Amino acid sequence: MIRQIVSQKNGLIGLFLGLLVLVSAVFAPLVSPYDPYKINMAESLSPPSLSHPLGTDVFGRDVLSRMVYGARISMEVSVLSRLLSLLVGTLLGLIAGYFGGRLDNLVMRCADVTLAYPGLLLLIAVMAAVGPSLTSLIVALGVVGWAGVARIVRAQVLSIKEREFVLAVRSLGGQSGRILFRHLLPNCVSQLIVIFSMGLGMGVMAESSMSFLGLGAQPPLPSWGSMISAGLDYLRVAPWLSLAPGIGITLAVLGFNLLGDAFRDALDPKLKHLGRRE
Amino acid sequence: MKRSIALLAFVAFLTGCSKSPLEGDVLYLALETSPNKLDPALVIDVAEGQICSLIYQGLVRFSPEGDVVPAAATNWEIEANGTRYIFHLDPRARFSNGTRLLAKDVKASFERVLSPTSNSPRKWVLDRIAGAAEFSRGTSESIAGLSSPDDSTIVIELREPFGPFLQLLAMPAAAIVPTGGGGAPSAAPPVSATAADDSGGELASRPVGSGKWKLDRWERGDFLELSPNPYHPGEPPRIKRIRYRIIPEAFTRIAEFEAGTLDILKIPQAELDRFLGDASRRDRIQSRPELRVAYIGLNNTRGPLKNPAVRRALNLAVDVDRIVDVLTGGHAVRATGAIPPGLPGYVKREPYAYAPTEAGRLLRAAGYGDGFEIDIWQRDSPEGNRVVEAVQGYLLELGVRVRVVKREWSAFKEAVSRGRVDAFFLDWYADYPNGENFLYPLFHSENAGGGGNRSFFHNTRVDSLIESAQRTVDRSTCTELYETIDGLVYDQAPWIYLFFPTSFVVVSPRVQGYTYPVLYLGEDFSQIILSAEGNS
Amino acid sequence: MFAYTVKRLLLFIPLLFGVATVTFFLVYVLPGDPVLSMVGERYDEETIDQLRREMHLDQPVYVQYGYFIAGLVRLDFGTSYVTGETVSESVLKRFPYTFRLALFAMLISVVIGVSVGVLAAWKWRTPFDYVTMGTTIVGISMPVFWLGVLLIYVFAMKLRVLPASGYGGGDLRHMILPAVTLAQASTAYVARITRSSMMDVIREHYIQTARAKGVSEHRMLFAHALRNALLPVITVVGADFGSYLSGAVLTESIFAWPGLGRFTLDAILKRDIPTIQGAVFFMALVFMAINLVVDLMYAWIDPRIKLVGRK
Repeated sequence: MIRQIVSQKNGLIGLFLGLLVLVSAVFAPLVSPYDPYKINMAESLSPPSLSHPLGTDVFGRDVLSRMVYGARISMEVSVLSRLLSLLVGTLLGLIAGYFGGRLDNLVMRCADVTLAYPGLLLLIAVMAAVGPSLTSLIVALGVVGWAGVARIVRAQVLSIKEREFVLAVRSLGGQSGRILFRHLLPNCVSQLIVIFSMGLGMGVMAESSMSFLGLGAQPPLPSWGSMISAGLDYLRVAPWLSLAPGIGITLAVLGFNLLGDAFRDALDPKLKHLGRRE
Repeated sequence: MKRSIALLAFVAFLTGCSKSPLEGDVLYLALETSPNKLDPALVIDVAEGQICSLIYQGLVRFSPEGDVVPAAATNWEIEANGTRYIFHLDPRARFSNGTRLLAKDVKASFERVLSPTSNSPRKWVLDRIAGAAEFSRGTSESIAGLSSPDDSTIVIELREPFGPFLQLLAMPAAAIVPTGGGGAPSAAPPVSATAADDSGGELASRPVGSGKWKLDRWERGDFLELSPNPYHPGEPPRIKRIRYRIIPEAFTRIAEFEAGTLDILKIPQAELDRFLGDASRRDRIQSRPELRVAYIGLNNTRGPLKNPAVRRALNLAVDVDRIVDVLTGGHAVRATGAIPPGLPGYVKREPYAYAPTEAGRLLRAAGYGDGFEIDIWQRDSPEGNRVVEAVQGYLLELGVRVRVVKREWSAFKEAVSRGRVDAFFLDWYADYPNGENFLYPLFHSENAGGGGNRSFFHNTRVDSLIESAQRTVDRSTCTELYETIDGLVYDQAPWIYLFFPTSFVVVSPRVQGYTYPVLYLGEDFSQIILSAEGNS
Repeated sequence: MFAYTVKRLLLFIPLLFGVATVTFFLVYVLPGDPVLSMVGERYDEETIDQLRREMHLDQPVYVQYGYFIAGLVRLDFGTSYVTGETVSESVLKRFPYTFRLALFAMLISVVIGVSVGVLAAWKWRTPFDYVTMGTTIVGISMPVFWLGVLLIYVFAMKLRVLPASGYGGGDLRHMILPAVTLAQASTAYVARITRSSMMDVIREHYIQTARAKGVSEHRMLFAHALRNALLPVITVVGADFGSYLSGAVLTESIFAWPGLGRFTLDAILKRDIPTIQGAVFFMALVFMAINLVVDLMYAWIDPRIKLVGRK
C-alpha cells in the first residue's frame, strides 16, 4: 500500500508534508529553537532574521517555535476529534446496518439532523454553548463529524451482511457482537482509513477557523488560527505574523488532502466524492 | 432568446442598483458595532451612546471639551445649597418631527425612565432626584422632586446635594423624548426592552429627538444615515449628511480609510507608529487622553487574593511601563490610581515599580512560595487580548499560573459581578467627566458586584470618604477628597493597575474643522467642512 | 420519480422537527444570563427580574420549549432581546444579502471552474494542466478567512482597485472580493471535477466512435464530453451552494457584509436567544432545502441514482 502511495507524485508530496507536520507536532520541544511561551518584550516584533527565522510576535516570542507548537495543537485536535468521530460513527453505523429496523431508522434520522446544519455554524453554536477550550473543541468536532462516518459504515455493512461468509457464521449460531466485530468491522477498515486520512485536513481547517474566531485554543496556546487573527492587526507592520501561520495551514491541509486522495485511490476508489470540507 | 433574457435578468439582479462614489457633502464614518436600540433610556454601549447623543439632547449637554453647556435649557439656577435646580427651556427647541419641546416632555421623559414598568438599565442616572425611588417602586404617583410651574420651566429637587448632577443630566438617559405629539400630558410611555408595547419599541428603531441631527435611514448591520434636524435652533451643521458604516474588523476599517472611503478613523494601537511616522498624515492626526482606566481587577474576597500583600506582589511582578511602551507605543499613561489625567483628583503617585524579586519575596512571606493558579476573565478584543497575554507571561515568571477565560459580555458580566472569578481585565469609561465616577461605582462597598465594584473591595473609611465627597459642593475640597481616596485604594492594590489609554484619530484630507472631543458624548460634527480638493 | 419526491418530502417534516428541537436545546444550554447583556454597567436586580419574567426565562424548560415550538409553527421566533425587532423579519431581511453573495459565488465557481477544467482536459498533460491543477489543489487547502484578508490587502489596500468591504448599496464591485473568497474552494473543486469527469468520458468508447465518425477533435470534446461531465459538476455545485452558508459566517465578518452569516455569529456572541434560534433554524432549513433540491435534481437528471442516496 505504502509503495502504491509513494509511487504517485501527489501521494509523495502529501506524505512529505504530512510527515513534516507530524514530526513537528510530536517532537515540538526538540525541534523548536525557543520556548514558545517565553515573553521578551524587548524583542517585540523583530523581523525575520538568523536568530528568529520567522521573526517574533508582539510579545517578543519566537514565531517559528510557535508554529512548531501550533502544529502540535492542530494535530492534537484533528487526530483526536477524527478518532472520536470514527469511534462513535463506526459503532452506530455498525449497529444500524446490522440490526436494521427501528434502530437503524433512529440512528439514521439522528444522522440526518446532524447533517442538516451547515457544519461550521453548528460548531460555532456548540462551542459558544460549552465555552471555548481545546478539549471542548475536540469533543464538538468529534460529535459533529460522527454522522458522515456512520452513513458510510452502515452502507458498507449493508452491502456485506448478506454475503455467504456472514450468513454462514450466522447460521452456525454466531453471536451478534462477534459477527459485528470479528467479521463486519474488519471489512470496513479500508474505508475507515480513507475517512480518517481525508478528515485530517478538514480537522486542521476547522480547528484554525474556530481559533481564528476566538472559539478554539485560548492564549497563550499558539494555534495557527489564533496566530493569524492576532497577526491581522499587525498585517502591515509585521506581515510575517499572519503570513507564516496562513502558509502553515495551507501546507498542512494540502498535505493531508493529497495523502487522503492517495489512500483513497489505493484502497477504495469508490469513495471518490467523499466530503472534502463541511 | 429566452435564455439570454433570463441571463440578463440574473445579471441585473446581481449588479443591483447604481454604484455610489463618495459624495461631496456626506461625512463617512465607521462604527465598530451595530447599535441595537436608539432609545436613550436603553442605551448601554458606545455605539448607541454616540448616535443617541447626536439625535437627542437633554436639558444640558457636553461640549467637545467635556464641559456642561446649555442644550434644551438655555440657562439655570442652582439654589438651596445645591439641592434645587431651576431650568429655563429654550422656547425655540423643537423635536425633529416639528413639535415644540415643552416642560411636560421633560417630566414625561424622566418619568418614563424611572417608571415601575420601565426596563431602563440607567435608572441610576436620575435616582438622585427626590422621590425618584418611591416613584420607581410604584408607591408614589409622581416624582416629588420634579415639577413644571409653566411650559418653559422645570424645577428639580435632589435628596441631598450631589456635585456631578449637571453632568448626569447630560447623559443619554436624561435625554428628552416627545410625549405623544404635543397633546395633553399623557401617562409615561413605558420603556420596554422587548418591545411588548409599541411606544417603547417604536422609539428604539425610529428615534425622534431634539438634537442637532435626525435619523434618516437605518439598514441594520450595514449603515445609518443622519441629516441635520431642520427644527434645531441655531446654526445648522455645514455638511448635509453623516453616513455611519458598520465595520467590525479593525483591519477592514483601516483598509477603507486607506482607500479613501472613510473620513475619520480611530487608529488602532498596532498601526499607531505607522500613521505617526507618515509625514503626509501627521498633521491630520489628533489625540486625547481618554477618560478611561484599564486594569486587571482582583477579586479581594477569593483565595490568595484576599491578602493585600499578595495583590501588591502581583502589581510588582508586572512590568507595566514595558507594556505601555510596547503595546500602546508609549502613548498611554501608567495608572497609579483610578482617576485618569484630565480630571480633578488625578495624581501621579509612586508606582508599584517592576521588581520581580521583591514580588517573589512578598509571595513567599505570604506563604505562596510555590505560586498559585488564577483565572483571568476577559472579553474578546484585540487590544485587551494583548494586554492580558502580556500580564499572563509576567505572572508566569512569578510562579502564578494564569488561565485566560474569554467570554462574551453577558457571560463575563454574570460571572464577574457575582464574584465567581479570581480576576478579570476590564476598562472603565467615564459616564460623566468626574472623579466621583471612578470612585463610587468602582470602590464603594454598596456597589459590590453588578454596581461596578467587581473586585469586591471593601473599606469602611473609603466608603465614608466617598459619601462625604459626593455631598461636597466646594470644588477644591472635593478634589482633595478624591485624591485621598484614590491613594488609599491604590495602597490596598485591589487591582493590577495598568494604564490610562490615549486615543488617536486621523481624518481624511478633505475634512476640516474637526475637533476630537474629550468625551464621545460631546461629538456633534457641527463645525466640519468637507473641502473638494481632498477628493481625488 | 414521483414516489421518490414524495418520500423525500415526507422525510423532511420529522427532520425539521428534529432540527428545531436540537436548536432549542443547544441554545438553552448557552452560558451567560441573556438579561445581563441587555442592561448596562450599573443595574439593579428588580429590572433584571422584570425582564426575566417578560422573556419567560423564569419558566421551566418544557414551558419554554412549548413556547418555542408553538411560535415555530406560526414562523414566529419572537423578538430579539438585543434589538427589539421581530426575529423572523430580521432574518428575512438579512437573507437576501447572503443569497446574492452565494449566487454570485456560484456563478464564479461555475464559469471559472468549468472553463479551467475543460481547458485543463483539453491541454491534458501540458504545463497548463499541471499549473492549474496544482493551483486548484492549493486553493482547496487555503483557509477562507486568510484568503479574504490577503485579497483585501492586495486589491483594496495596495492596488486600490476594489472596495475593501461593505455592501455598497448593491454596487457589483463590492461583491467581487467576498464572492471570490467564498467561491475559492468551490471553484478549485469544480475545475478538478470537470477535468477528471471529462477525462473519464473521453476514455469511454462512444467517444472513440465519435472520432471514428470523423467529428473534429474540438467539437467532440465540447459536444460529447462536456455534456456528460456536467452531471457531477451539478452535484458539486449544488452541494457547495449549501456550504456557502457556512463560509458566509467567516466571509461576511471579514468583509462587513450585512448578511445572515454575520448576523447569526453576532447573535451567538451576544447570547440573543430568540435570534440564535430563529437564524440557526432558518440556516438549517435553507441548507436542507438546497440539499433536497440537489438530490431531486440529481435523481431527475440521472434516474439510475434514484433511491441510492447521494452521500
